[in-house]
Amino acid sequence: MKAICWMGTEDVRIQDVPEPRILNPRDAIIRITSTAICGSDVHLYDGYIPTMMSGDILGHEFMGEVVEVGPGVRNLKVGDRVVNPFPIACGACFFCRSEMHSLCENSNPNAWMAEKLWGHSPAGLFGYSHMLGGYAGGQAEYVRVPFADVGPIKVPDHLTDDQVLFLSDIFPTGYMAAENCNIQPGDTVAVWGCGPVGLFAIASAFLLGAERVIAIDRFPERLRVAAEKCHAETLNYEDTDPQESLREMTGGRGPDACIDAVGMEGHAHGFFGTYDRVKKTLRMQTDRPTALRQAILACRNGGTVSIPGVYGGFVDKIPFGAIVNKALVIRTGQTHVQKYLRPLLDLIQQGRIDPSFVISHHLPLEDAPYAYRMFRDKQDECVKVVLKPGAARNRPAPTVAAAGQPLH
Amino acid sequence: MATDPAETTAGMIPPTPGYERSPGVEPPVLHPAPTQLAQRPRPFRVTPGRAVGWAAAGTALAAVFAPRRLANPAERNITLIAFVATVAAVDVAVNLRKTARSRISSRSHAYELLEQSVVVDKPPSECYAFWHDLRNLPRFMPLLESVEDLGSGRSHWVLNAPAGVRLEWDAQITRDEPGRLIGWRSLPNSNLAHAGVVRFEPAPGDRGTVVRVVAHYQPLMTLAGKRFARFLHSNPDARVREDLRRFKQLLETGEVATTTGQPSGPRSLVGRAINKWSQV
Repeated sequence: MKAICWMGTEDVRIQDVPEPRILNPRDAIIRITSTAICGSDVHLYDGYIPTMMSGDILGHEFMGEVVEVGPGVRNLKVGDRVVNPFPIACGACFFCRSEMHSLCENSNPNAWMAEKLWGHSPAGLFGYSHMLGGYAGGQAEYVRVPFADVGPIKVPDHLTDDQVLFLSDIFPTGYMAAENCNIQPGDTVAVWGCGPVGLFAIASAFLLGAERVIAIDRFPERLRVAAEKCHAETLNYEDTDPQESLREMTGGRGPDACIDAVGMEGHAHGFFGTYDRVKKTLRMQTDRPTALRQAILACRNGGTVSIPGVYGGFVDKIPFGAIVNKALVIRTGQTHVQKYLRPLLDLIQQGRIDPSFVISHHLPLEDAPYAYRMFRDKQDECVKVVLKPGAARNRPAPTVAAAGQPLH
Repeated sequence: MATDPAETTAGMIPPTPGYERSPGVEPPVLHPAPTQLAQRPRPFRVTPGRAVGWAAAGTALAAVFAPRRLANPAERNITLIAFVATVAAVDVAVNLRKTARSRISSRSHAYELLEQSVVVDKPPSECYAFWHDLRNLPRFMPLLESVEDLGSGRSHWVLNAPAGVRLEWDAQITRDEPGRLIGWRSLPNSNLAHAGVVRFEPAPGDRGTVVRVVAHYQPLMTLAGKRFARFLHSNPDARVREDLRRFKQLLETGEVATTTGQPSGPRSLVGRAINKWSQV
């Protein structure tokens, strides 16, 4: 079958690989109908996540049709149309039973690697480094899903792939980020980053009762989506100082909650931007916490900083004094997707949200190398790419070079 | 614990925290294995390489520390020889001491202690019953080729250790308290002289069972080998920790999480080597 493989930094390729098979009783095999490139895949593309090996199949946002089930899977049958959550969770351990599925103790066969870096291991993830399980991902024609009796959710036929695909990661991730803010009526929420997760965080904050949401980015097309589709007020940090503007927009008090939907590859002008780039180049820090710093400083006293953005290792110059003296609440974590699948599917069915608004590109699976480059460099007003295995090309294959030179 | 090796009964394990917590378990007597896997220290020898090293180090030290005013060539040579001789003497002394010390330690109480634990979300009785059925052990100890029950608490074990080493031993259950603990030790003529106990302690707050393994074993590797194995997460401590993790997975989920057999794109040479290693 065809699969998108990580072959090195800034090098993903389409490869012919064997089809997956059932390895454990609770496995299922899914034929992929839609899969997406996630912002966190860009961290893999740029080589910032350790323990990737060339040949690893990428992709953790996918959905499709069940084609085979193991003897331990009773709730799914061949032909079911399912969306699959990106964390792999057993459903039986202490954390799964506490609805903290992304902390499952039983799904990471390489838990020791994560323990060396983080002290303890979270759940295994699809296509996201060997430290997090080394599971083959879903940017392929078929994928093996472990604990298939716990993860995948059946979706009704009248909803399109584009409407339900993002239940696999970014919609629950944005929703959990907003939920972590403990939003009260009248609250103002500021969101750094108007990528797909940031957009879902904005939409979810409104769903959870926020009065105002202020979105911060530098790409006009993304700010436009935030304003037009999500009804957020917008700030372009190339034009204004976000901290000063947020202060003025909130009467000097600051937003009640701040969401960092940027993560480890933040971008900034001025001293800190240069400082982080130098330190990261010298391998003296692994992540660039630009948005996190701003969120901590901008947040009101006693407010909440919620971090759905991915950080992998070590960061520098975090204003911890501000966290302590302003009595901030910090909430973060990989998304407990399994917990949110049912309630968020209900929201989609009720028509309260149509997640397909974030999609900017539909491409055949084979165009993934071009799509990664385009998405990373925000070319062609790219916000979210959906890949379709088996889709016919209606034009010549674009080359990676066609995605242009990096902007940063 | 006796510090003078002469006072220690040869082959006896010193008492450990694990045993102190389990009154009634006597420190088991270990017999020397027929194949001596623990590498003997190499006797100290003066090799040409070592002599060159002395000369180089002595000359360097002389260049730095010798009095500058020695104009007479004979005096300079004598000084140089004195420096080289001092370096050689210090090196010989240090090495003889090291050799002597390792001889003592390999003769008597050089057994290694291992302690690992895991929380399993099942009651102690269930954990005990699963472990007590010896047929279950190879399901979570992948290095075990077989365990054969010989009756009356005795069993025969075959283990395929990394690097093609095959270990066999007979074990005797020394203590068996249903729902609480199982103690065992290897019998004479074992490849792997060891003794251990696995305890099933109720976790606080009714959160299942703390399964804790405490064991003593005859050292299998040199110091360098041990460090290398630890780096690869393949030393005995790591192996037991992974065994316990798989034990937990089997009891809680009915299967062991794996990716062995899944597809991948072409691997690099290093990737293929790692895959090969991780499957032993």
